Amino acid sequence: MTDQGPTADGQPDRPSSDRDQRVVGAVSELGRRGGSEPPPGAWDRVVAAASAGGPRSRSRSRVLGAAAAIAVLVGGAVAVVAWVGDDPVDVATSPPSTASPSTSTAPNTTPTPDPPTGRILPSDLPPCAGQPSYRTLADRLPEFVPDGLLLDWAHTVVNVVDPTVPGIPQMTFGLAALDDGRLTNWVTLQRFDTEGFQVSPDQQPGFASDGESLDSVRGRPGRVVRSVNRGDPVGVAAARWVENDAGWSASSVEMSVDELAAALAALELTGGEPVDPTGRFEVVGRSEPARITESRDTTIEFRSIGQPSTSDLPGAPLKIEIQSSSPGAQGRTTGQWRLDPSVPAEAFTLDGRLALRSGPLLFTSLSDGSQLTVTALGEVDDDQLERLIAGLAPVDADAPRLAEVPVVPGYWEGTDGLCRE
Amino acid sequence: MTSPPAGSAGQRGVQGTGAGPDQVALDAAEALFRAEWARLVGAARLLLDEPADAEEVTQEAFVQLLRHWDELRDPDRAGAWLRTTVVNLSRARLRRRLVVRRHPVRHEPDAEPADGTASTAHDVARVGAALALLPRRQRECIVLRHWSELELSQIAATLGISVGSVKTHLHRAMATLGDSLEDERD
Repeated sequence: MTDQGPTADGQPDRPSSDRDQRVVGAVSELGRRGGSEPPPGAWDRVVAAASAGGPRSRSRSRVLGAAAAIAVLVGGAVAVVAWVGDDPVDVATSPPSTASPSTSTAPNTTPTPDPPTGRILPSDLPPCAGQPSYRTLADRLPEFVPDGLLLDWAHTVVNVVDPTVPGIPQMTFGLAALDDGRLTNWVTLQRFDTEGFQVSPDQQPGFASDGESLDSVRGRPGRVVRSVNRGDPVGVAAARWVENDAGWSASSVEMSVDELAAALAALELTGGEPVDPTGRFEVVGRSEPARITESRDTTIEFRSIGQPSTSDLPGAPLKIEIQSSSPGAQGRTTGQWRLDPSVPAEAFTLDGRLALRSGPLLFTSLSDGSQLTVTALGEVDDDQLERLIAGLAPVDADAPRLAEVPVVPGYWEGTDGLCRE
Repeated sequence: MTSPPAGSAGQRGVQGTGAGPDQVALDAAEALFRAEWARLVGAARLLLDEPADAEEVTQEAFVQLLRHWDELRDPDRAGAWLRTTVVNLSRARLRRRLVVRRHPVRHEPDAEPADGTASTAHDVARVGAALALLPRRQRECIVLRHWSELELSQIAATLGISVGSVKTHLHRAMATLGDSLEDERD
């Protein structure tokens, strides 16, 4: 990676530590593996596909496939680009069954919808036969549908986890203080194995030289500093120390070095999860290298009555995602990590469990421990939302109402791994 | 790559919302294709769980570009348009690949770094695995910053978020990726 000079913000624009340089070097190396030259004939295939009018199918056709094959596949669906001037705000597709689906005005182009409805119902699915991962009928359906909406589609992704895949080496907790229901003073707390763990400032991703630092954390040798990074002149308060045969790191955007040190001093770290006996901080998210053998992730999407499916466009009025494996499973986070730090967040109790809300996102858990994410874009009031969540009941695969719910919004979604258990 | 032969796809009109680009525009688009391919396919490779999809996404972005060439008020912005489209297409594809997302991608190290100096195989494997597990927004910020080499304001415009959010995402992502280098249990 070459030095890039100062950014538009006037900040030094080069990796600020050896560790940063190693990260950037690795990212560059990974990107270079994409190759430097397009495959032979790639441009001809681009032009051929564009000339064909409709988009390519979402099936697993490959770039290196024959141009003729691409021409055959273009009839499966129709691409839509939402435009704001020159800006493609999103690239998505719509099912070919909509009234005027094509962005093409070419008179010589006749996309061939397949299947005609563009939607796949449970009865269309082949049996799942020993596949390690697949998409199938939804495990759950809501018993209540908010006013003005209808159930658009739902499915469950089943994934048998490869036990040989290494887990994430560290455990991460998100903590925040509750101030009259508002979440403030976010702290990311991580626990590492001590092997290879460094508390030395030299291993930190950049340090300011203002001298704001402490040489102990929780009464143990460690460091608390104001850490900055390229493009981030404000930085974070960051702490690192070793305790109970584990390496720990903590960081907070909002708190000062002293405030972070004080917050950490109050925590109990001996159990499986940090506890603040003062009640000021609460764990609002976690990610851990837990081992699971299977996960079941259900997505349920609604659309406004009278509107076409908008699954791939921004703005589906209501979407529910349920992760039904153990919380904090491998590669999975709960709670805070999907929150935009620039948007205020609040915490409240929903059906006796902690719930977080920030903008259109709501996170909580169900009584069986499943993690729930709801994206609601303003068309659902709180009462309806609570009713909806309370009524997310498991549904039997043979339930009549499930038979009428498409498993994917349209044929363009692709049929990869779709089957019936 | 040479220009398409007469009568090949490259000589035909391209169907889009308008009449599509003429031959001059096609030539310009092809030049862009050659110039931007490596950068775009690299970005797609970093964004997608399945590296083999990177070329397909990049090709799709150029197909969309040709279809909507007439709508580009400023052809000089085609590069930025392509970048945004690659991000959006990658995002859409990831949504359809939840199965794959649940398996952390193993970026197997090459025997030697491509240029012999950039990174150790260990770093590439560690960072690759950690990159695959980053929250989507952090991952996009990292790719656009450290691979596409965009300024913060350009990243913010590409992703439709504030510069402040970009900074936060970058900082958190760099911390996570840096931490991935510290665990030496291989």
